Amino acid sequence: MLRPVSAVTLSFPADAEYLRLARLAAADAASRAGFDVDDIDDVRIAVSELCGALGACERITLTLAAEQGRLEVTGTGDTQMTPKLDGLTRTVVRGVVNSFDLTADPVGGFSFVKESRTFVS
Amino acid sequence: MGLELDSQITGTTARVELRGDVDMATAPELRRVLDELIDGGATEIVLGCRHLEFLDSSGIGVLVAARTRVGAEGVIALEAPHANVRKVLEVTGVDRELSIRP
Repeated sequence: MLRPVSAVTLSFPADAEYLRLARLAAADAASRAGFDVDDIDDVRIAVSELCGALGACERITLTLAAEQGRLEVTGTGDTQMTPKLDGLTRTVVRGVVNSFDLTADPVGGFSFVKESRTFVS
Repeated sequence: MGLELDSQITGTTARVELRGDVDMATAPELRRVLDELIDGGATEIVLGCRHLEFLDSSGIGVLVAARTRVGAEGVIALEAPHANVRKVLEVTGVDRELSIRP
């Protein structure tokens, strides 16, 4: 039986010094989703890369919605700028998540979905 | 913990022990250390990664720049990288440009 979705929201200054905090929260959420170590690492990487791409704002709000075998992550800044991903960052993110999206409406942000490769309900 | 770097150079060979995370916050420090070593004549740089817990694309950018600076005869080697670090290297294809050692 699947557990209900549990969501955690974290707000922090859009400063690179806080990326480690974002990674810690992401790792915890991925663990709650039942991910193995490799999938947890993938989520840490994606959160760090995408939050880093939101840098041109004051604060970042990160929402991590976990259910067994699946994690949905959204991050929003406080400006209407679309996050800018250089080629290397885009390649890394593509390599570690199932899907991701960038937006500028109503504020700049991202979302991605990561599904466990090994979870069996 | 951010990133701790401990470097030693002998002739043209340098060794740098990395401890912590390389991300947007700490990549500039890694770049500074590698640039200093290369400016000092190092052409083979071995990065001890046993205690490196995280590497993102900003760190990859630093490694690629160092690889370019040491030239075709030079070596940038990563020793004992964890699986998560190795994955970022593989996803970006940088593992083919650097020397990855167990």
